[in-house]
Amino acid sequence: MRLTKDEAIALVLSFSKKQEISSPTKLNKLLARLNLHFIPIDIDFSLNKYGSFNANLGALETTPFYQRETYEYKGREVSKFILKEEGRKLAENATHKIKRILKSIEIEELQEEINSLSELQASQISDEEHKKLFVDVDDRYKLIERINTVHVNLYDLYREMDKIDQNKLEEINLAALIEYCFYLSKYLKEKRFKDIENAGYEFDAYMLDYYFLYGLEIVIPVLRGQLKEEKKDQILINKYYQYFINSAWGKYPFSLDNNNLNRLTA
Amino acid sequence: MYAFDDCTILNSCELKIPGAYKIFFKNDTITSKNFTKIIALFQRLNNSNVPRYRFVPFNEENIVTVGNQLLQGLNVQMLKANFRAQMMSQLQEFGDWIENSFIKIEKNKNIDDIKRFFVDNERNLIKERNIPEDDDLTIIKAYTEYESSETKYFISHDEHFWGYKDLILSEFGIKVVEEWKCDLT
Repeated sequence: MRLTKDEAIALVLSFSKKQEISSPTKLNKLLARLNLHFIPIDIDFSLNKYGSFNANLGALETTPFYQRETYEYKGREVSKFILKEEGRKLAENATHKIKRILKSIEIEELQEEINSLSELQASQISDEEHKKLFVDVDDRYKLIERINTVHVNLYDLYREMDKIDQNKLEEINLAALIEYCFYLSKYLKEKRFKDIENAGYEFDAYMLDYYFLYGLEIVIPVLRGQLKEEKKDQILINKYYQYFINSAWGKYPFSLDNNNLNRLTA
Repeated sequence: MYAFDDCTILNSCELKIPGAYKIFFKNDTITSKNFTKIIALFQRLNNSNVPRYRFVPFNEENIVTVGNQLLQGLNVQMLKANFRAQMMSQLQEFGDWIENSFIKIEKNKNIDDIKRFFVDNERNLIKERNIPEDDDLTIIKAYTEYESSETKYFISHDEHFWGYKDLILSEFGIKVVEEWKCDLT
C-alpha cells in the first residue's frame, strides 16, 4: 500500500480548512507530515533550509482533482490549491486505502492535525518538524543519541526474533518488521549517519533518512509489546511494515527492490 | 463443473522475486511445481467458457501453508524473514484476482454426518492426519449439495481428498482430481 501523489494531495486537501491550502510550500509541509503518521506516499522529499521539500510540488498545475488559483498576498502573487469534486472522490478512495493500516481513531487524529496545521504558516509547520526529526546542526547530539539508542534497542529485539512462531501472517510480518528495522538502523548508523557528527546542515539530504530514524524510535515499544502479546495486532504491525517497506520501495537505497541491498546489510 | 481447492488456486500464483533477492535465484519468479498444469487447465476452461468454482469463506491459513511449501529448500541468505513476508504478501494480494475469477460456493458447516462417514471409513494417509479437517468436510458437504447436472470435479493437492477419492466419488458424487494430474481432466 502506497498513496500516489494525487491521492496524497487529495487526502491532505480534504483534511484541510475549507479544503484548500494557501501555498505550494504549505502543501509540501502537509504532505511530508504523512510520513510522521506512517503513511507511505509516492513523493520524494529532500531537506532544504525549511525542512522537507519536493521541487515538483511547486510546479503543480490544475488537475481534475484540484484547482491551482493565484491570489495576492501582501503585494505578492501566490498560489493556492482547492479540492475539486473528483478530488473528493479520490480522497475517499485514499481514506479507504489507509484503513488497511490505520485505525479509525488514528485517521480522525490525522484529520484533526492536518486541519489545525493548515491554519499555520509553512515556517511554523517546518519548525515543529525540525524539532521532531533533529535535522538542525544544534540538535546533532540528539540525533546521534537517537541513532545509538535505536540501534541498540533493535539489536535486542532482533535477538528475540526466534521466539516468534511464524505460523500466522501477522507473526510472519512481525518477524519481518523486526528484522527490517534492525538492518535499517544498522544502515543508518554505520553508513548513512556514520560521519554526521562533523557534518554541517545536510542540504539536499534524503528526508527518508530522518523520517525512518524517527519512525524506528516510535516503533520500538510497539515491537516490544507485540513480542509479548499472544494474539498479535495485524493492523498495527501492518501499518509499520507497509510504511518502512513501501516508502523505501523504488527510491531509497535500503529497499527490498534494490539489487545491491546485500552490500548495505553486510 | 470444476471446483478448486484454495491451495491449488494459490499454486497458480507466480511470485515475483524482489530485486534485492535476485542474486540468490536463477529466475525472476517462483512458482509451484504444478503451476503450468493448473494454468493450462484454467486456460482450457477459459477458452471453453466453463466457469471455475471455489469455496468460501477463504481460509487464511492456506496462504501460510502454500507460502511455506513454495519457500521450502530455497537458499536465501539475507533478510530471510522479509523474503518470507514478501512472498506471503504477494499470495495475499493474489486474493484480489481470486475474488473476481471464481464463482463462490458457501462452505456448509453441517458436517456431523460426513465426519461420521470418514471416521467409519478411516484410512492410513501418508502425509496427513487420517481424517479430513473440518474445513475439508465443509467443502465436501457444500459441493455435494450444490445442484448441478454436470460431473463435479474437484481439483486439490490435499491428501485428505485424493486419499479418499474413490469413496468421495461413490458416496458424494465428486470426482477428485489430484492437482498434478489436473491438466489431464
